Amino acid sequence: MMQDKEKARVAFFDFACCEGCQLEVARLGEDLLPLLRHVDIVSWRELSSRREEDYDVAFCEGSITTREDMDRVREIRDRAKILVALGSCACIPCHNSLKNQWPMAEVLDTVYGREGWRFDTIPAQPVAGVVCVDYEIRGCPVTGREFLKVCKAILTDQPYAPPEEPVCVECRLSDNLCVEKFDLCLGPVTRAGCGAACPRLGTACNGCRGAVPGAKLAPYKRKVWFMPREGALLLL
Amino acid sequence: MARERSIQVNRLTRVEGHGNIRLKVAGGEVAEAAFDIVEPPRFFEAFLRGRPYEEVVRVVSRVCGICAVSHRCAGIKATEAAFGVEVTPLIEDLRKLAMAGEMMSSHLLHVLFLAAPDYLGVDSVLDLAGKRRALLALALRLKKAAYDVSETVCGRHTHPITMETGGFTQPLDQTRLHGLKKRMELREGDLAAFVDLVGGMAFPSMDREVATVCLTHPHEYAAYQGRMAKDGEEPVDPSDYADYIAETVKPPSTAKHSQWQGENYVVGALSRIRRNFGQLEPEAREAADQLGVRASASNPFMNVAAQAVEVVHFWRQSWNILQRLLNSDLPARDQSVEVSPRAGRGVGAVEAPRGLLIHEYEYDEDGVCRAVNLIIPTAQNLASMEEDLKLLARNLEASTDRELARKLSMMIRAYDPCISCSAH
Ligand code: SF4
Ligand code: SF4
Ligand code: SF4
Repeated sequence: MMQDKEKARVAFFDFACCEGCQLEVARLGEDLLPLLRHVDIVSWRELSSRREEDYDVAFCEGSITTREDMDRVREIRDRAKILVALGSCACIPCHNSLKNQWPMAEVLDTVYGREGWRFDTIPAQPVAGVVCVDYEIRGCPVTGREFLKVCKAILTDQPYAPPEEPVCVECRLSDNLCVEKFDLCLGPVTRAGCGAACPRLGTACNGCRGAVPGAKLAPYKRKVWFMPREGALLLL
Repeated sequence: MARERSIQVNRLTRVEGHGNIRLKVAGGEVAEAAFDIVEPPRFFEAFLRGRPYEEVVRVVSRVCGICAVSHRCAGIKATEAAFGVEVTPLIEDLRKLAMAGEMMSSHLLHVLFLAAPDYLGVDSVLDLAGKRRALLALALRLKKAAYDVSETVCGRHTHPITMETGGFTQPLDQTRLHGLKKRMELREGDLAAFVDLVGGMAFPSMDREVATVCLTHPHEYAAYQGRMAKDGEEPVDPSDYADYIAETVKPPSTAKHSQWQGENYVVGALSRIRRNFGQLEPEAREAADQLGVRASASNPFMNVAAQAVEVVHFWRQSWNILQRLLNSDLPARDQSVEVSPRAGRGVGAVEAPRGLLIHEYEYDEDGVCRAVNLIIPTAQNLASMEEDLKLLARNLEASTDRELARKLSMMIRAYDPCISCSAH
């Protein structure tokens, strides 16, 4: 798409989330500098006061949880040539969707009591639930490595698909022993790409990258704090 | 002077999350001064209900991408309190080390990336990539070193992997700690350069009277543990927090406002230094002298300098803990203890980078969470932030709208609000 000499104009936006993914990008530090030779960051509220509305690539972090944010993300979609969902909140949409199991009025009441009606909230949706998404970067948080990979794909006009094999593959390839002490590891049904970050450090995979296509999730019913877009919300 | 004016700054930049400044002057008086939190809440207090405790602590760090370790720690402490779990001094040391790393990385992010552009005359530190590359490189190096500390201990800085209820899922060994120590040694020189850099920032003056609250501990500069105290008052047990701190809903702000027995107050670096100044590492006290940080919290702009002082303190503290761990035999078996759930309520309080953070959970006998309450630093500061907006607008009544908006933004930024966190 951007074969011309000009730098790609890039913007970052965030919706309901912890902003950990954009910080993971910022944390690339020195490794981010080479990218800055090819892109011009024209809007990044968290890190810069520059705010321009003419951009080619929009990174959207977080889940859509209000009507206002639905409009905001539609507007971003209209302006951007390429829209990237950054992080699992934006892609699946992770723990944010746990609230979807209750009527919104009840959720509001639990947190705000009698004043609840004065706030707006809708069931959490992934960015792709509202607008068309061109690229997805999963993970809670994303890894800087995958972010750079996707940037490269965007700048060279290549497609990028998040890995489809399960975390177990990376786990066993890294010589990790599948330890029985995990009551329930979601590795077998979760998309790889993190290098089996959690099992390698002795803790169970929580499925933060979402389910592999065609995953059989029934045996994992007791856990699962993510909502695989491919499946229904899993609960106790 | 303008008798009528109104100032609106939407989606303030260089802060974590979404907030709007709203100011109205009518008849020469400040009629309205608000910092509206327009961040969409995620409803942690609602959706954590019904989740098993292992998930509760893992998910709860997702309240904040900057202070994930603090949320994880507060969550773990509350859960351990509910289950009656006691951890070893070694586990506590490791947690303190992880928190020190986060304290530094969070402060460095704020001082160098969010606040510094106000004083360097740029939109963002990324703009320094050209001419002032050395400064940018210093900022990046230091931040990396701080991340390194918590990452070595908990596997990942945002969001920790190995730090769980009862201890750590993967024991740390001497080799990893030696590696960390070597890498920290390389950065020693940068610390002085950092303090000098902050010394060069011309913080606007301001004089307010304000109540401050923080944790305090007889043997250490409190962060991981302590009792809560308002300035000049006796410390109280954090598990009684509900007797002191009351939250009110203030639409349209999605974050609640807090008061301490009916009074507005602030939490954070200024409050901690005010109460616990004498417990700072000697080097940090020297930095405080150099930067003009006193044991008073009267100028909100000075929060940036106070954070710089704490960076020095927690750097030294990390170093000391590392040294202690390296001199011990670091037995792997003591890095986690047995956890068995039981019904009960537990409160966990820590000093997050932005101030006092309290988690409270209620569990049933299977360790399934039944109720949650989170008291967030930034939410506790909101009422004082609005008072300070008012005071600053009065002080600057002769300035142009543009200048006033700039200063109000700088002041809010100096508080280092963590907005996603406050709305959670
Ligand atoms: S995906 Fe996880 S780390 Fe990223 S913004 Fe969402 S909660 Fe934060
Ligand atoms: S530990 Fe988890 S990810 Fe690794 S092989 Fe076993 S089930 Fe798969
Ligand atoms: S192991 Fe599972 S939970 Fe951990 S980072 Fe990978 S996908 Fe996410």
